[in-house]
Amino acid sequence: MTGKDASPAPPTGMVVRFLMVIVLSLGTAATFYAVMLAAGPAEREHTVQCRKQAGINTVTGVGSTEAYRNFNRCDTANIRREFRNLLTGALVVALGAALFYRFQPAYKRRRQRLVPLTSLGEGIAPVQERIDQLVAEAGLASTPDIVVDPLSRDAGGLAFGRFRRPAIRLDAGLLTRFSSDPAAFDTVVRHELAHVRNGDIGITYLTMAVWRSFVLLALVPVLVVELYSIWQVARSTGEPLRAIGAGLTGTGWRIAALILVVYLARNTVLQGREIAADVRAGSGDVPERPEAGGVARIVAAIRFRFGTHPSPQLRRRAAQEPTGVVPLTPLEMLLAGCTITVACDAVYPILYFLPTSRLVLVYTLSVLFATAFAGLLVVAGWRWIIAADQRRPTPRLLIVPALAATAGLVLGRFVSLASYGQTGSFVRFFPTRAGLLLVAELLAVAVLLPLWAAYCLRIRRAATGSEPSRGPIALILLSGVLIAYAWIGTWAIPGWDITRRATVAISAAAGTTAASAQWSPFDRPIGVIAMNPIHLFEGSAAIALVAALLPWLVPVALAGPGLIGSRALRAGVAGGLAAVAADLVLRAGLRLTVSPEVRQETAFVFVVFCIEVCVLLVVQVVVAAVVASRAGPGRVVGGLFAAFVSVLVGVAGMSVWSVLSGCVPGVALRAASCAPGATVGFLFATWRAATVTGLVLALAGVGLGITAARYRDRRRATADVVPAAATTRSHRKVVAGLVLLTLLWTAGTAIARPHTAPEGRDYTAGFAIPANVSLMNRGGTTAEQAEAWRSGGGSQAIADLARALNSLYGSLNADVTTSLAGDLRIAADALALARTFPPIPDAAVQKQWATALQLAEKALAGTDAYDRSPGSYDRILVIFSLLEAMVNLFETSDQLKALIAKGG
Amino acid sequence: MTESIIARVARTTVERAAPEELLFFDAAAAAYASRSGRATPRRGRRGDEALGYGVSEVVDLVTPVALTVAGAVVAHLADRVGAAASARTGRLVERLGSRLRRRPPAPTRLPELSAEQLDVIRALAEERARALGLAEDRIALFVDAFMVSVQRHSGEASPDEIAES
Repeated sequence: MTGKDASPAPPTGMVVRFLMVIVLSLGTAATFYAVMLAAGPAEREHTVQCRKQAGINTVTGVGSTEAYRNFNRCDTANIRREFRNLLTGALVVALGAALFYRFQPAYKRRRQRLVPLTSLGEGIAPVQERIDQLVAEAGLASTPDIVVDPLSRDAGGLAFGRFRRPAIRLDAGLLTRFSSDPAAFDTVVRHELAHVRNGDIGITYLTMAVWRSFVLLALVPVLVVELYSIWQVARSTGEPLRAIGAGLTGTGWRIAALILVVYLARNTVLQGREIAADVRAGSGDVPERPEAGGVARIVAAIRFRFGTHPSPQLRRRAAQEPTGVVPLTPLEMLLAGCTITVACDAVYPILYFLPTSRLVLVYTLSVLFATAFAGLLVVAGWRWIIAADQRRPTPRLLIVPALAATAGLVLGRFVSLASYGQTGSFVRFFPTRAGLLLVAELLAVAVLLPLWAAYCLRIRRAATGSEPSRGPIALILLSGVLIAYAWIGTWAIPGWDITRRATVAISAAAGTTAASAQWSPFDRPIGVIAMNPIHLFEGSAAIALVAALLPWLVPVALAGPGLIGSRALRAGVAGGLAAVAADLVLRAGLRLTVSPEVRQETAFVFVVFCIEVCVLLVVQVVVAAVVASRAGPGRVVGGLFAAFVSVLVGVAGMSVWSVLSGCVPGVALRAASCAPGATVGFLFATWRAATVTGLVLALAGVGLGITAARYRDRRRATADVVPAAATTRSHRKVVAGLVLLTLLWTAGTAIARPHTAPEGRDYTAGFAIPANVSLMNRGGTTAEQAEAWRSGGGSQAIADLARALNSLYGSLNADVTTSLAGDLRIAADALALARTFPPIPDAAVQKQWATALQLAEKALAGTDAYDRSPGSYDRILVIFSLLEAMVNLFETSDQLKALIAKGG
Repeated sequence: MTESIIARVARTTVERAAPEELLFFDAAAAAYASRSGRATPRRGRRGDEALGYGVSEVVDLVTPVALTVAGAVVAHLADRVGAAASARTGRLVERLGSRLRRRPPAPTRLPELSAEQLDVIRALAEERARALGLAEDRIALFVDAFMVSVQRHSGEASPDEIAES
């Protein structure tokens, strides 16, 4: 229809939302059919028996990969049936949608008795001529099929048809406007031609077809089945009210919420297309209507929210205001986030039963929905910023839309039918600090990334005067995809352990996030190291680092030549180099003043780590304040930019010292072998902790700088009027505020971690070290020890135990491909090995051994693979600690060594 | 094909009240006829169609109103004449048959109308035009045009012809 697209559609990012609505409908239909055609009691019992036979815990779901493989073989028939049910639902709705889509134009023509414009005779020639002119003006290669509804008294039009077969309906009322009000006639026709030009017709009517098919072929049947089920329960129990209540609290409210989500999401998409068409047509002159007040205004707002067109006021505003093209209202962001999660949850069970590994499915889905995430949120935010940047000196913080999108992502889990049956998941998720931090993390990413990109964009424009091309924007999209990939792959997939994986994954992908605060230097710094992200992408450190850096480096590339002269960049680099120098002085000083024995203590490592982070924090505050104190637009973003650059440079410089002096223990200047990737993990942890904590402090620094600049300017203006004491007082207030903010942040961090202190250890006090520290340090050598033990005639049991511990370390090392269930399995295997170990001759050692074993088993028994609370994770740490203590017994006990020498 | 009396009356009305609408009158009359005269003209219900213009502005179109009012008047006359004929003949079968016929073919001519009947038709036309949302300032013009049209076409059919239809 359209030739070469010299003038592409206004960027709204709405196409992805269209696709999401389609995916959401099909996926939800599949789950509906799975519910309706669910297996009977005999089949369910068979599934339970297969789980038991395969060695999978029927309560916790804990089981090895081999166990799950056996289970799949045993329960093949049920798995295939469920897959068929799911597929049937999706196919039925897809087929219905195809039919609706195929016959919708013909039905519309027939039902409304539409007639071709050309059939109206000679008198219509001027109208046809004008339409041809407007078609040429719109850039269309050929005129769409123009039809008329001769009985319609509306003065409107409608674009309809199918892909590459567009048609435009003109109401008879509009034809009379051709002579009486030609401008109004042109406005309407231009609007409809803009829909054709923007390629709205095919995808809009496909979405509508899917929606109608979903309602007719999925929603109605499932409601009938649900009502029948409620009726059956009511009849058998004699308590109809309770049966209805159970139905409503089970699937009822979810179905209602789902319909609302899909419907509103569909409408936001349609409204976005309308605004895009207005902008394309260059006509925001929709008829004026008096503004309603009071209740009428609220009613009107609700009416437009549930309609497919935005209010005339918004349309007029959007035509003059570029940001109106990409509305980022909280509701739209909430719906977008909710849609993503629900769609992901709906599709997952379909793919889950495909004959492939769970891991492949998770990664596949992650890629798919990460793209959607980027399309919905990141792109919207990015384009909004670009549009806003054209008229504002400083881009607005997208806190409210980001919050709404985050809330939508979280809410989606509980609306989703896929989570039906996971009773209490809402309660189990939210109290965890990981859950709260996840929300904060998404918020941080959603706010920071567009800000960052916008600042770089401004630098580019200032330097070159040119707008960004599509290439860099595409890279920004890729960055968003990577962020979302990690997020969805680790959290949005049901059954995954979010407590640990998600925070690690997002931290790695986003590079700097609030989630890092979970393991900030004020708490358990080694946790960050142990969970370094190098295994995030199946062990590829390179990919993990690219994923982490890309979102931040792409905008820098976007800034291009203008960046070199940026004041913020210069300040950031200078601050980073200062931090590097300070770190060198620190290391040298420690080496001179602290004995080697003390430096080898693991606790010492963390002290150094914390000092390094604190240095970086101070540098960030100073740099941000200096940049923000200069006059000029964009000082807030510039200050943040400088602070971020200082961390990048500082950590890069510190890494040189670390590499030169060893790996993780090397920060204490002790060259030693170390666990694989520990150096990377350590540096990454430093970067994240410094950046995240530093974000708050950098903001404070920006405030300090701006305040200082104001006082400076005022003092210059009224040097003889303002007493010096007043200025000093004001500065003191600013400093006091900064200190207070820091204290609050620190206190908040501590309060957010009500650790259950296992066995007398208090993790919140000082820098107490979890036992897995030593495990991690041992990680690279345990296998060697095991081999040495074995080859030296040592006990096979000890060698096996050592290997198990090595595996444990590997799992601990943030291997995102395993879950908490996997950790539990490894821990259980290790304990099973320990149980087989022969009695130790030394009674005292034997007692310690038995106590450790007993406590570890108790901790294991109390851990649920799906328990996402902090307590669960701490119990795992207890197991690790005790296993580590047991290994230490071998290393420290002469009797044990003798026992080993004798071959156990 | 002979144009129905409804279309003829409406066309004459449009010629007098809104000649610019003659452009699409034939199409409108055909659409009206294909709906068996049951559909009333749409007004303002399409404001929120997907990919529509979105702002529903109702235009004071005379054509759909004229067609609908003409249809109502002809139906009224047919009912009155038919009822009188049935009472005259007293044939039960005929009465039942007239009720069972869902779609009587549109008559092609109007009977001779008395002054009293014309008054009734004027009142009916005014009432229907108002109910169909025609602007108040155009109702009088429309009714005048409509009555001229009715008078022009009256006497073109006998009462029996109307009743049979």
